Parts: sequence; C-alpha cells; structure tokens
Amino acid sequence: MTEVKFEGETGRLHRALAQCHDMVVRRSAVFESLNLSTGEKVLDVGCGGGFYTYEAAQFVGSTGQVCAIDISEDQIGAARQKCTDFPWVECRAADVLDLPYEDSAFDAIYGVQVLEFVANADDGLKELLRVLKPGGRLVILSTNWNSLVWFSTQPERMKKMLTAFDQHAPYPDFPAELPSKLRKIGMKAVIQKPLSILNMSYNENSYSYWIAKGIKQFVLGRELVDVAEVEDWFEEFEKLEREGAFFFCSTSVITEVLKTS
Amino acid sequence: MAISKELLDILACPKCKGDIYLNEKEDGLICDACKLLYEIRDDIPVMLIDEAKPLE
Repeated sequence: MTEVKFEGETGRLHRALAQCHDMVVRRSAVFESLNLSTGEKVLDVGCGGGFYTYEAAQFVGSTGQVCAIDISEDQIGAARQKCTDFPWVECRAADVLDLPYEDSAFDAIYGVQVLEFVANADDGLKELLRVLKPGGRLVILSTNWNSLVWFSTQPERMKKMLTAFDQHAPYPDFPAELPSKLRKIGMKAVIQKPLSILNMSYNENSYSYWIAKGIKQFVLGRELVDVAEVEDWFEEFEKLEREGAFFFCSTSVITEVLKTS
Repeated sequence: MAISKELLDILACPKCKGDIYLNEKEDGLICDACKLLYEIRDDIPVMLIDEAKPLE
C-alpha cells in the first residue's frame, strides 16, 4: 500500500465517520458548549474535512471569521472545498505549536479529537491560550479510550486490540489529564461534560462501525497484532449484529475553559 | 487567491508572531523579520515553519 493511497483511504474514512449519526450528535454538543454568536472570530484547530468549520461559518456569518487549520494539506484541501461558499472562512496548513496568528486574535477556539495527538500537548495548550482573547472560550473534546466497553465473545482478543490501539495517540485518555495540564499553565477547566456513545447496532450510521475500520487499519498498519487475529476481531461484529448481541459504549468529554486574563 | 484584509490582519508569522504580508505575485506570505516566505500551494497557505522558504 502506497503512502498516498493510505492517506486517501484514511481521509475517506474520516469523512464517512464525520457524517454518521453519533458524530452529528457530537457536533451539536460541541456547538452548544461553544455558544457562538454573529460576528465572532473563531479558530478551528485540526479541522480535518471541515465538517465543524462548515457549521461554525453559519453561526458567525459574514461579519465573523473562521480560521481553520490542520497539519495535513490533504485535509485542508477537503475543508476548503466544503466551505467554498463562505469567504469568511480561511483554511490553512499550520501547526498548533506555532500558530500563524497574533496574540488575542480569537473570541473562541475549539479542537475536536486533536490535542491528544500532539506529543507536547502542554505547549499546544499554551499556544492556543496565547491567540485567545481575554474572556474568550476554549472548548476541547477528546475521548477517554479506557472508558470503552465493547462486547466480544473473546474478551482477551478485544483487550489485545484495544491495548494496541492505545498507541494511536500520546494521550489515549486526554480528558483525564487535561485539568492538571491546564492548572500547570495557570488555567482552569470551568466544566467537563461527559458525552457517551452507545451503539446496540453495528451499521453505517453508528460510530463503532467506522471506528472498527479505523482501529483495524491502524493496528494492521503498525503490525501490532497478527493479521488473522485482526480479521477475526473485525468479522465478529457482523456476527454479533446478526445475533442482536452487539454492544459498544465509550465516553468522550467536552472541556470548557474560560481565559480570565 | 484572494485573502481578505480582515483575515490578513490577524495573521502572523508562526515563528516570530510578527506581521506578514502577501507578496507581489500573491503566491506567498512574507515575514521580513525572519526572512521567510510561506508558500500558497493550490490556494492553501502553508504556514508551517519547516516548509517555509528562506528569502535572499
């Protein structure tokens, strides 16, 4: 598999995932926390295919601005295309550790499933707070992967797969570490809200359907578990679905931060 | 590509956080202090320090 093909496949998977019902509910919860209003300047960190950017653009309108960044030029290209009707959206390739923005440039900033991938997340947080206005708000959504309960008739194999997947990010339980990280830089989480996903069915409109593919791709790509064992793990979900025995439940957390000074 | 003035106002060099401006050909953003050019590729400004081109 070439690298380009891998990137394309990953991008396609991300976009399919973003459109399933569970992700629509998640976006709605994030925007409820953000509480955007007309004319605000917003930063979308790790915008991916631009699904959040597209909605944020409609909240702030043409008198506002949405700056969307991602480290991947591929993803930025997709986001840019999605938001082409909104000239007040600006998409660019940038690194959260070195943001191309002046101090206090934004009223609100959000990052969904992104800071857990930044090896030095503390510096990433500091940089986000630098570009946030005093009184501005930061909303972060990440998943506590160890909160996941996923039924299998072979619990040992499931455990092996999920342990391997823990390597996908430096912080697999980022929400749990976030309050202490914020404390270290003189900030405080105003509130943390749990947001659970529970799938009793394995279908294209459920988060687990897509994340199973993502986990399979990751574990195979890194050669962390035997190919046959990964295939068996993956194929069991269809069987469980037919038997009405499928169960997936994980909890993500929305963390709201207010920059006081 | 047209970068709106409002957006250019809040843009800064990712390295020194200082002002940057659009070059004459409108295919890059220049930081005078760092002597770096941030290219605009396929209409996407690439504001990554590692990818910036040094200016002579």
